[in-house]
Amino acid sequence: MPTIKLQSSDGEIFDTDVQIAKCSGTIKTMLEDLGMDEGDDEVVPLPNVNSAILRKVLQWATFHKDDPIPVEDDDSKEKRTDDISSWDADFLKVDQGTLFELILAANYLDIKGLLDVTCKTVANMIKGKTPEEIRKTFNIKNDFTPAEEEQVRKENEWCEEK
Amino acid sequence: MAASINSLPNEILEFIFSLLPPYEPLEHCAAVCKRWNLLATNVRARKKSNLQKGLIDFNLCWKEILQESTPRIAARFAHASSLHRNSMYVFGGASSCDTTFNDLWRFDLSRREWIRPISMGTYPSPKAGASLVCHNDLLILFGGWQHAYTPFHMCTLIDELHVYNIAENRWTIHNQAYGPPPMTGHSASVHRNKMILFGGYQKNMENLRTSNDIWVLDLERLVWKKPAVSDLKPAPRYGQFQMAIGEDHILVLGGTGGVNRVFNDAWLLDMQRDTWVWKRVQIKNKKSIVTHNWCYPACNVGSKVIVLGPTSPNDFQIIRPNRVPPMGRTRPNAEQLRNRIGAAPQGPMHAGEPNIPRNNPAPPARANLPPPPPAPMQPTLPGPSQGLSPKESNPSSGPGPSKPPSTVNSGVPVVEARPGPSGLRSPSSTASGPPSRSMPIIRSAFSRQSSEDDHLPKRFNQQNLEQNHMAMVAFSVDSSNHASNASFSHERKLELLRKLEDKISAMRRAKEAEQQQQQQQQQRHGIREVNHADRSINSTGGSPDPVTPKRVKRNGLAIFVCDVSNLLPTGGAEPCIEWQESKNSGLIAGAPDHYTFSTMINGNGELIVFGGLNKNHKSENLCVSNSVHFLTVPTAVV
Repeated sequence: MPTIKLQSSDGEIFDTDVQIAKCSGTIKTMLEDLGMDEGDDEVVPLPNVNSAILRKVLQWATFHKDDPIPVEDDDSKEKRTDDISSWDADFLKVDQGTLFELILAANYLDIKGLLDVTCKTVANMIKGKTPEEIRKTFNIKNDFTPAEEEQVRKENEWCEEK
Repeated sequence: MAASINSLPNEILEFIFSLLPPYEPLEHCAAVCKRWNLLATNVRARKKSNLQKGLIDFNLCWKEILQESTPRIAARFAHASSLHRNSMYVFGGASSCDTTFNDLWRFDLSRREWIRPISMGTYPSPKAGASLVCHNDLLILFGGWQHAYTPFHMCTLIDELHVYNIAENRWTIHNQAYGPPPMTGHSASVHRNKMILFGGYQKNMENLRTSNDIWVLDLERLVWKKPAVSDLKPAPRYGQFQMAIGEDHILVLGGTGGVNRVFNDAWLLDMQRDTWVWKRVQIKNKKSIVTHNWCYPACNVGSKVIVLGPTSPNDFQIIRPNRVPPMGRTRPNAEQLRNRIGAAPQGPMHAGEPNIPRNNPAPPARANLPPPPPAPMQPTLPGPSQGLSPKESNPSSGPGPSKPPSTVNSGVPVVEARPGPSGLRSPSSTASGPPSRSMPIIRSAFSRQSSEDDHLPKRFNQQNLEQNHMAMVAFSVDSSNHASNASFSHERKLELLRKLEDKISAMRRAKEAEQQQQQQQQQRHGIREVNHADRSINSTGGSPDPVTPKRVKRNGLAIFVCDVSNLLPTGGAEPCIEWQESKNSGLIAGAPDHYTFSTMINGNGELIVFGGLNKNHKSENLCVSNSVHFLTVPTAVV
């Protein structure tokens, strides 16, 4: 089984099955565009992903390697936030920092499936919370002045279209 | 160095927000901090503009939610609905068996669940076909109909005005000495602090009539006024679609004037001066116009009006036969029907265009429902029909003979005898039920008959019905035959009815045999359709050239879109609206079945369709729906 070497930002090398690595659009393009061939001993540097996250990403990719390739514009499918598989749900039982880094890595590496599932997880964390609860959950500073806050409240109230 | 949510780039945060329901959760995001406010506002705006775009290039999809959650709203049609903040409110409506509701429900659009607020105050009477509009935190409910308590009335029209205070969860009644007559099928819209009512099927003094009057309700003081209006007016109608165009203009589309009179015109009301002026609106691209229907839902999204309706004029074909004066339906009828149906496929076009009803939406968002009941749906349907048929047919035929064939537009003749509402009831109820309020006598007659032909194919009847259907809907009671008259001729009519009935059943038996033959033949020819399709084919009896299966099968509601952005042209040009070309006849996979008297409202980036009568159901009972369908744009990944 052909493998390639992926190098995380902190220098760790991951020997990875090419098929798995190619679930990342970024790596796939790199391999194709740069003419890197399997079997080459070259190392693919991934300066935006640290080893802990890369390990998670590869774990996810390995589990999902047999998933059907997502259709580019799959219009017919509704975006739902409650259709996360139980494996993914377990996989994503991580601290917030890791979750957001996974999102960033999925975005950087262009792994659509992982980006979807991580973003859905965050959406689920937001759903059903009041603004104050959201701030608490994510440790966000309220930078509205009281007047602005009132304004926002009003806008929400009248957002209906005539 | 641990990443926080705000270390995510804007695009990703927007993507996350776009996964949230565009209602409360998104509002809450907007209130978190400045950055989130901006992004959430973008997402909301994008959802709305996506729907607009989707309507232009028909990039749309239907979704349905299946209700698993407990409280469940009962199935209904001709209810009233209105959007308030993140909820769709639904009031009243009619069930499949002779009852109307006075319950109020809230559908939480964020959570997609029904909630029934147990409200205080003075409840409205149970009714259907009322108008419901939202003004600030108030819902204003006016008019409607309910089943009659006395034998000689088909339906009772109502003139009650109720206000529901959402914050206080309280109903109050506001009946004034001066105000509009009892009515249903009127349309309403809110302009600043006024509610403007137009048209409707009204009871004036003791007369029932279709109206083109305008009434204005001052929403602050709850006082009615009748404004001065130009002499040129739209023809009297009900079941039309009305929408506010800015603060000072109203657009009225379609409606019906009674049996076989469906309007496909458009009118603009200018309320800027002391005397309000109606102007006829030019319609461009009439070929894409809805083929008929005033009992289907419509609503507007920005400057587009969306109307649901049957896919093609063919869907309406069966009805056409009915145009014939309703009366003499009995014998000849059968023959005629056949011919007609056979012919239908060929002439769809013209059927659709001229007088066929273009469609007029029931007044959707705004709440008014078209009037009565059930009957309407039948007609439209291609084949199917439900339980109505047997009963209804009778009534129609009954009255028929006694009166001279009235002309097309009078749907009246049929009326009195018809147990309008009673037609609704399901067969079983008919049979078992005590002869009840509304036309007891007739009813019993029916029930007799129905038990007799339970096993018979219904179509024959159905056909008859159709004609009525309009009439009924219209409540088309002619003013002349009103209560007193009705009672007078009642007995005679009953006699006639009975005789007719006998004739009909004899005929039916003959027909049945014939049909069976036909069926067999057809099967041999390999023409096989889905249930209702089967029926419709059979119903045509010997039609040589049956409706093509394909057509019959297309029973989903199609989407028709009209651009109304040119209604207030600058520079003195004439106002005009333009129907858009649709793809695939406006059909989109997953479309709801043929529901009539359902409602459609505009949420955030989606349209919500609720309830209605489903004509295509194969069972005998009226099929009334409580499903919620969403019309939205397929979500594209950021």
